[in-house]
Amino acid sequence: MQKVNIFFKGHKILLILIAWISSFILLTVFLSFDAIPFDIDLYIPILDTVVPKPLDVTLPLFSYAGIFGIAALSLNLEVGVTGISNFGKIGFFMIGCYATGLAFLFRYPIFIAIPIGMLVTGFFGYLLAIPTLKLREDYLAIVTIAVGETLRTVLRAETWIAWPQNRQTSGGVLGLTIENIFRSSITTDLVIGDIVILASHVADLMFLIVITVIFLLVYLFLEVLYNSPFGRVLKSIRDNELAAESLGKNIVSYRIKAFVLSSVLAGLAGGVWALYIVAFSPGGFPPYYTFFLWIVIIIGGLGNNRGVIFGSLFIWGIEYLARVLTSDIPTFVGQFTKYLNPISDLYRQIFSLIPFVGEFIASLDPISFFQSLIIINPPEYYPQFVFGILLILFLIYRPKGVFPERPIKTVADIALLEDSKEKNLSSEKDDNQ
Amino acid sequence: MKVLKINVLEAQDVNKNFSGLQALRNVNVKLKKQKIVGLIGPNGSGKSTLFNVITGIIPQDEGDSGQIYLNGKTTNHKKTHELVREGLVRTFQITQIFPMLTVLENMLLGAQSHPGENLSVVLIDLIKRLFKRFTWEASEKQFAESALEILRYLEIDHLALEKAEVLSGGQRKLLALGRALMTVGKVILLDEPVAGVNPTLSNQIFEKIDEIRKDDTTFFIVEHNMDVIMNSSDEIFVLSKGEIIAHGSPSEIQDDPKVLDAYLGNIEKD
Ligand SMILES: Nc1ncnc2c1ncn2[C@@H]1O[C@H](COP(=O)(O)OP(=O)(O)OP(=O)(O)O)[C@@H](O)[C@H]1O
Ligand SMILES: [Mg+2]
Repeated sequence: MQKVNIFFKGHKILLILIAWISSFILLTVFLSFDAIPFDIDLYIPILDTVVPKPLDVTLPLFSYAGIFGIAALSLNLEVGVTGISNFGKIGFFMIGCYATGLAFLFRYPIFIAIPIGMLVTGFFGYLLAIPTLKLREDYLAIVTIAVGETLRTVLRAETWIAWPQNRQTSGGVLGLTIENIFRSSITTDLVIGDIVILASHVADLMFLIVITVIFLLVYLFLEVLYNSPFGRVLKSIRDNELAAESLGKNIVSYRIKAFVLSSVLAGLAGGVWALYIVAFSPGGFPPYYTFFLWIVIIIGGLGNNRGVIFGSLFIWGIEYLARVLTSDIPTFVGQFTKYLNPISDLYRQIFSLIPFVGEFIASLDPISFFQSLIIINPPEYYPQFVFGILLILFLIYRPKGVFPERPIKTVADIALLEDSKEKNLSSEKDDNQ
Repeated sequence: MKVLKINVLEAQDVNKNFSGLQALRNVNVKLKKQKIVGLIGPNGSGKSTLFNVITGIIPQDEGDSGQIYLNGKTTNHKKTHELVREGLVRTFQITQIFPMLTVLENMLLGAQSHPGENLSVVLIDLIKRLFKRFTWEASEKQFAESALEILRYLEIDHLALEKAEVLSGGQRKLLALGRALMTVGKVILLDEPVAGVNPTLSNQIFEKIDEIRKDDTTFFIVEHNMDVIMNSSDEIFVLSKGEIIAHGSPSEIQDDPKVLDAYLGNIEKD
């Protein structure tokens, strides 16, 4: 028998890493080439420095995508693989964030603080799992929404939670502030020829590398898990509880295990978030983020982790660029005014020709209405708006996501496929004739 | 041969009530070891319900009564999956498959005490043998081999690596049957195992069942195809309106006027 090992799939991890790094570099380079049309200063530099400004966009974008990507991987374990609808994911993320932050404030080094966050979140997940995972799916969804919201409210109200810090300036709505280890340890600018990269950017780049490594480790871990018979049982429970139960699988126990494991990973994502974002408060974990993670895995492809990588980058790309763009949109639309105004004039002229109601219809000119809406008051819900439309389009036209779930070739599959191909193809065909 | 007299499965005075509808009334059934036992009766007579009660799929509510004994021990309050561990396996009338998994994976899920289904085994393996083979791979291969053997017998082995959702109705029935056989259960309840399967293959399947039962396995089979069930069972129970109205060898049942009545009466009502 040929030696078959899951890690033979290592080249896929490499491909993913290459895709990740090259999209980072491409986007950064693209932004620095002033390639955006309409002469918009997309990258609004906050500081007027010699720094390549696009890093101000790409560093946070990829860090967000990476950290929330870990959370999305964790959600995919629940939703996509085990079939547990968790609508309170951000609550677990928040617990991991706070627990890691507090451990860090107690001067534990990060490689202890992060596991503490993971353990605390995992334990919390366990406490929640025992009573709730016996519930029917729809009830479970309601409970998890409630849990996520309750946690946020509790953290907002209970000011003592910031006990290692000054209560005047932290706790409750004020949240916690911890030290940025990367920025405080890297203080000199990096000079390569003409290009000067700010120390803060170098530090953020180091952090991004750490995030990427953690993300890939989690990804690899989950790939092994999904390839194992354990993962197969999880999927069977998602597909058909009745059949799984009558094949001797203890459904509740498996669901609890998956839920706890997923909570641990959410705690990891939260812990990394704490160290990245440095200052956080309950307001920073709105339920919107839970749905954000849901959109990531639905668009990416439920049950397929490669989809999570794509989904996370794609969705954060929209979210982050939209945030940057929101302030630019009036200018952006302003570019078009000179083209739109004649159309608008034409509209009015045509409709005012109609007797009686003409004036009224002309005043309803949709183009100038749209223009004034956007230019005078650029709404902040653009990304949400786009996500909503995307979600609807995906659910209608591509419900399985960009990367639909494919059956994993397990060890047995691979070995037997080769075995039986040789053995059967000749003999079996004769029989069938 | 004293051993053969032990009842591997016994249902004693089982009553099942669905909010007013008495689906089972004082049902008594005894299955002897290594027998193929048929369960027949008109539509809605309670056959599937009896299977559901025996395997714990539907819980005993207030007003329900009766005891189920597996190998002489009562199965009170045991969950379905616990009973599977003790060798009581079943298939469903409405075929239950895992559509997103491959046919082979569906089969492998029938495997009992697979070390790789244990999270701790998988995690410890992962840490200990990061770039080597996992300890569960050997059992996986073994299970996969026996799975393929069964699939070959059921003539769906060429679909082993397809998603189960692509299977036709009859093929799904076969898959569910194969999966039940994978469990190597000692008492196997089959709810219409060959409904929708072509006659040649269904005869073959019953031959296979006959072969397997010699290996210390008991079958309890619901089947509407009278020819098939009469030819292959050692013993037959007849249910009508939730009551056992006849019980005996196939020839006794065929001659029993009550059985004919039950079937004809049902037709007249329709
Ligand atoms: N879960 C349930 N809730 C309410 N009533 C039920 C339930 N399951 C079965 N019944 C009723 O119990 C009676 C027996 O049903 P059962 O499914 O056991 O029949 P059956 O003998 O298997 O029939 P068939 O040959 O059509 O499969 C029917 O009248 C049915 O409506
Ligand atoms: Mg039935």
